[in-house]
Amino acid sequence: MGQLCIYLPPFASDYSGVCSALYDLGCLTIINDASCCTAHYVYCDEPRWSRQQRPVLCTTLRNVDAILGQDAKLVERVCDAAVNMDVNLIALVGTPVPAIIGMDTAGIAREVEALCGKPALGFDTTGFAYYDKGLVMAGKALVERFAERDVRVVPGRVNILGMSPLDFGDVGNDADLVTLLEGAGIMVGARFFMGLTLEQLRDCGAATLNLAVSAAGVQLAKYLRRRFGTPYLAGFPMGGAHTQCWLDRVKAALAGSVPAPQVPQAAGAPGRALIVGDQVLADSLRERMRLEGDGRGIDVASFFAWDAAAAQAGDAHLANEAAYLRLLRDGTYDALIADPFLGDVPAAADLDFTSLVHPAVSSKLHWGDAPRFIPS
Amino acid sequence: MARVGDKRNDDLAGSGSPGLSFYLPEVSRKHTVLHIPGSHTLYVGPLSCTRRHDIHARQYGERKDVSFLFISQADVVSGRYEDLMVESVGELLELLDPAPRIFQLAVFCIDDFLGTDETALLERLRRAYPQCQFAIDHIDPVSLNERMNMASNLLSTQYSFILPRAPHEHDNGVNLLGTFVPFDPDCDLLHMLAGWGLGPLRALHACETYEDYQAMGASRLALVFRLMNTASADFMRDRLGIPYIVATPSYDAQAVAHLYCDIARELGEPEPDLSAQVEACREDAQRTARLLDGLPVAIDCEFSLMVFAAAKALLGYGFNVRCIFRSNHRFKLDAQAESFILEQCPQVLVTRAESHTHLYESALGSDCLALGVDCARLLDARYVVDIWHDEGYFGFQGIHKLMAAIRAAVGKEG
Repeated sequence: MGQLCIYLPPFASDYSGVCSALYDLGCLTIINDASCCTAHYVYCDEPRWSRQQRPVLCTTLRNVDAILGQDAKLVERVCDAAVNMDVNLIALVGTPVPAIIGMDTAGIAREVEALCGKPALGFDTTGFAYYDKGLVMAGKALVERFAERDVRVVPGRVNILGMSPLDFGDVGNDADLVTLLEGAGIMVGARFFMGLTLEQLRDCGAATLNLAVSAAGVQLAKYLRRRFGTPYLAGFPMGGAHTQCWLDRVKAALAGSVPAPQVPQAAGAPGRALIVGDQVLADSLRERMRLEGDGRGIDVASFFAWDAAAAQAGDAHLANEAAYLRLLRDGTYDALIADPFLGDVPAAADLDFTSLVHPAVSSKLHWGDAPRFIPS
Repeated sequence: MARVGDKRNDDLAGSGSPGLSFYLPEVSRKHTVLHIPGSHTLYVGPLSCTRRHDIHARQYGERKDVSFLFISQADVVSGRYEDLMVESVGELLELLDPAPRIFQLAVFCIDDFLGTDETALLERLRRAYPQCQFAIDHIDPVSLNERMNMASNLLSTQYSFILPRAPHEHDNGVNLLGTFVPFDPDCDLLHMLAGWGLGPLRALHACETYEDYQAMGASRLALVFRLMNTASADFMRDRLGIPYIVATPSYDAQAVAHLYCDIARELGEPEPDLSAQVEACREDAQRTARLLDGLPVAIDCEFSLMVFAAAKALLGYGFNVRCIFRSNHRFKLDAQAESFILEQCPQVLVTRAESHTHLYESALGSDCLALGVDCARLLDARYVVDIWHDEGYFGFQGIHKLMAAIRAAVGKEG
C-alpha cells in the first residue's frame, strides 16, 4: 500500500504553495479552515513569518458554517478586514473541508470583489496535493488576472519563475540570483515568487526569456510560453564553475541561440549517487558535480512536479514513500544527497549521506540550514 | 457593561466561526507530548492535515511512535478510507518492533463530513488484530463550539486503556490529570498531599513504561488540573473506581484554601486552617498591586486557561486590569468569572486574542504590564510576564511566585 508513511514527513501542501506565492503582493490572504491549515502554513511552511508577518487570516471555519453555507457572513467579514487593511489584493484559499463539501471558493471571491471593489482571487486548493501545484496555480491566476496581453518585448529582460522559500529557504538565494543577473548586465523583470509586485506582473509578458529555477517554475514557464510565446531556460546557478556555465547559457538564450551543452557526461567512475529534491535544483546540482569532475553515475529523483522531457535515464519521479524506499534498497546507490528527513530512514543507513535541505520537506526544523547556492 | 472588542468580527453568541483570526509567530517553548508508553498513533487524513504532527513528533523525539496514512479525494469518494485504516494497522504490526500494544487512530476535520461508522470500524480492528487495543481520536477543530471540547475528547482516550483493579489493589497514589510538567518542589500542594499520607503521585507525562501507565489504575484519588480533563476523570471514577476533585490553578487565595479543604473532606481528614496562608498571599498581592501604582494590566488566555478567573482575582487585589485577551474557544471554563467581568467591570475590555483587528487597532497602549507573551507582542507591552497556561504556578506558592514575577518584570522588588 503506497499511502502509508512510516518514515517520511507529509510534505508541504498546495494551499501553502498558494499562500507562499502571494506573500510579497500586499495580499489579504484568507485561508478557509478551522485553524490547523493556517497554522500549518505560518508555522511549518513559511520561513519568513517570524521576521515579517503578512495579513494571512484564518476563517475559523466551523461545522455550522460549512453545513449551512454561511458564505454571506464570510464575505462580509473579509470585506470588513479588507477595508481596514491596506491591501492590493484579496485571496481566498481552500483547504480539505471546503474541498470535501464542494464549497465554491472562486464564487465567494467574486462576491468579495463585487462587494468591496478590490481584486479577489479564489483558489480551490484541497490540502491533498503538494505545494508545487499551489505555486503553479497561484502563478497562473496572477498572470491571467494582472498581466497585460499586449506588451512590447524588452530585449535582454528575464523573468525569474518558481523562486519560493519552500524550495530555496529564506537565506538569500533570491537576492543572490538577482545580484548575479544584474551584475552580468541582465535586466530582471518579474520575480515569481520572492520580490514579486503587481507592477512586475502587469509587465511580465515583456521578458525575452523566462528563467525557470524550480520544477514549479518550469510548469509556469510552459504556461507563459503558450500565453506570450516567451522561451524558457530551466536551471539554477549552483556556484563555482556551474554559475558561469549557467550564465553563459542565459546569455546565449537571450541572444536567440540554442545553448550548446557544456556539461561533461558521467565518466564511468565507481559508485552511483542519488539526488532527491526539486527536479530543477537536483538537476543543476548534478551538472555542477559533473563540471567539478565527479565521474560517478548521478541520478535525480523527486516527489514533486516532474518534467519527463528533462529527465535523464535513471532519473525517477517518486509516487510515495514505498517507491523511495524501493529505490534506496535496490543496491544501485552508495551515496544520497537529500533533505535530512529523507536521509533519516533505515534504507539510507549505509549510504554516504549529504544534506540538501528542502524546506517543503523538513520545514522549520531545518529551513535555517537551507543552502545558499551562489556564493556571495 | 464591559466593552467587547471587535464586535463585527467576533461572534460571541453563535456556535459558528468566532471570526477571522491571525496567528503570531510561534514562541520557542518546550511542549510535552502526552504519550502512552507502548502505543502508536496513526494519523489518517489529507497530507496537509498531518504535516504539523510529524514536525512536532520529530521536534520532541516521538517520531518512532507515529505514522501517517494519507488519504486521497478518490479514497473519500470510493469509501476506501476505512479499509485503508485496517490494512495500514496490519502493515504497521508487521513492520514495527516492538509491535505496539495500543493503536490510536487520529482523524481530522474531514472525518466529520464522511459519516464514518466509528463503532463498526473499531469492531473490525479488534477482530482483525485481537492482540491490540484501539481508540479513535478526533483532531477536528471544525467541530468546536461551547459544548464540544476537542482536547477533552482527545485526553479522555489517553486514559481509556487503564485497566480496573480490585479494591484491595488500590494504594495511596494520586493521579494528576492535566499536568504536563512536574510541580515545583516547594509547592504547597505537594506538602499537603504528603501530610495526608498520599503518594506516589502519578501523571501520564511521567510514565516511562506501560506498567507505569497501568499503575494509574491503582490510585486512590485523582486531581484534575485542567477542566478539559474532566472526561478522563469521569472515566476513572466510573470505570476504575477512583474519585476525583477539580483542582484547577487559581490566583484567588481563598479559592486555594477551599480546594485543600475539599481534598481533606474527600479523604475524611479534618479541614486545615489555612487562614495565615490566605492572608500572606493577600498581603503579597495587594503590596504588589500598590507597587504598580495603577499601571494598566493586560491578561492573555496564553497566561491562564481560566483567564477571567485570573483577572477577577487580580482585580480583587487592586490591580488595574484593563484588557482580557480571551480564547477563540469559548468553553465556559470560568463562566461565573466571565459574567462578573462583563457585568461588573466596565473598565475591562474583553477581546478575542486571535482577532485580526489587533493588526490595525491596539486594544491598550504599550505602557502596560502584559501577562502572557502573545498579548505582550500585540500591545508591544513595556513589561511582560511570560507564563504559559499556568504551568509552574499552583496553590499559595503559585500566587507568591506570580507576584514575584510581576515585581521582577516591572523592576520593583520593594
